[in-house]
Amino acid sequence: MNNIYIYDQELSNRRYQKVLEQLETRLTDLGIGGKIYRLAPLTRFEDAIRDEVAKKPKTIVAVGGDALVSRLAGALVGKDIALGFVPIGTSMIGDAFGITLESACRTLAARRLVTLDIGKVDNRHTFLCRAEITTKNPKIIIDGELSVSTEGAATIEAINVIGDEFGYRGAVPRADDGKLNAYILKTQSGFLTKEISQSAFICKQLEIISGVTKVLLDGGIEVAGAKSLEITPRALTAIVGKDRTF
Amino acid sequence: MFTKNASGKDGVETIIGPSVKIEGNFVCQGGIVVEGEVKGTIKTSGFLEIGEKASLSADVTAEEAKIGGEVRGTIKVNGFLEVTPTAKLFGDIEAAFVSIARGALIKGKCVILGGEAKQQKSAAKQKDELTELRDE
Repeated sequence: MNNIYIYDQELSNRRYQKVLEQLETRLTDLGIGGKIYRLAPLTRFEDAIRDEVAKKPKTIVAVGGDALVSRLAGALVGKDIALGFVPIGTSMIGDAFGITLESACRTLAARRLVTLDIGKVDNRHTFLCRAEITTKNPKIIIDGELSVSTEGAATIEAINVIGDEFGYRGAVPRADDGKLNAYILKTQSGFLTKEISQSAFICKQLEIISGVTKVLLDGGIEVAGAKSLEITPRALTAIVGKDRTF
Repeated sequence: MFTKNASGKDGVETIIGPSVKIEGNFVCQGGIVVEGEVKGTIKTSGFLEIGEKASLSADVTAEEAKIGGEVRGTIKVNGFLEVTPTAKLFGDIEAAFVSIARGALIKGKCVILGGEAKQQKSAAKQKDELTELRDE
């Protein structure tokens, strides 16, 4: 078995039927069809993926949203299996990888492989694009050397790679540079508008000493707390489009 | 929008925003913009901009710099140093070229090395690089 397609749980909804039929036809036409695994509400993702990985396919493709591809990426770290993605709906990871629903089949057929870094939270969770940490009076240590603190509410974003819509100043995040781009964003109320003041750093590791209230990975996976964020360089092979942002 | 270059569009790699405090030794290759508080040292082989409201208790080394805030510590700039009217500098300054605007406060020794010193430095740097390459 060369390709396994993991369908997001949400895709069992009838409104996706036509899209999926078209997708499957196109994949078959291009000669890259494969086994379809539909995630169900009671399926344990980790168990399902472990079973599929054990079959040693060439590619496992996430069909669905960012949360699915993010979790799949975490499961494929260090494995000799390429990650593919067919985004259904708006997708930050799709934007970063240069893949849309329309271009996904061509991208999979072209099989443009890149080796990517992956972000890790507390050595337990992974993220492909970004970790968004809501904090109050945060204190963080960057690369074990630099102590950074601020007062009040702030959002810390640790970014591995991002789509074009992201417009902060500072260095461009790249998924293959072995580094995380960390942003500390504070909203300041002005007369009519809210201005965002921004700090930006490039690092390999972030230790959050205090202030975490909420952690969201790749825009959809909420985890309980975060003490340490780091980057694992060149951890994963993925199929990307030519319009990728890195 | 991001470009595919390693640094941002304006060459800025690191930004220390207002109301952010930093302690430690900060070393960086790209441009740095400081608008907050820093205690420790800052070293960059790129451009350093210190904003009007920034406050540094730090020794600073940069390739080029524009300073508009308060700095307590020595400042070494290989190229051009621009001191704007709002700057308050308490410490020694060394740079190849310096421009000091009216209104700026400087308490310390100011050494202007001129173009020759910069050329000598870059020649020495090139020589070191060549030696390193030969050794490899």
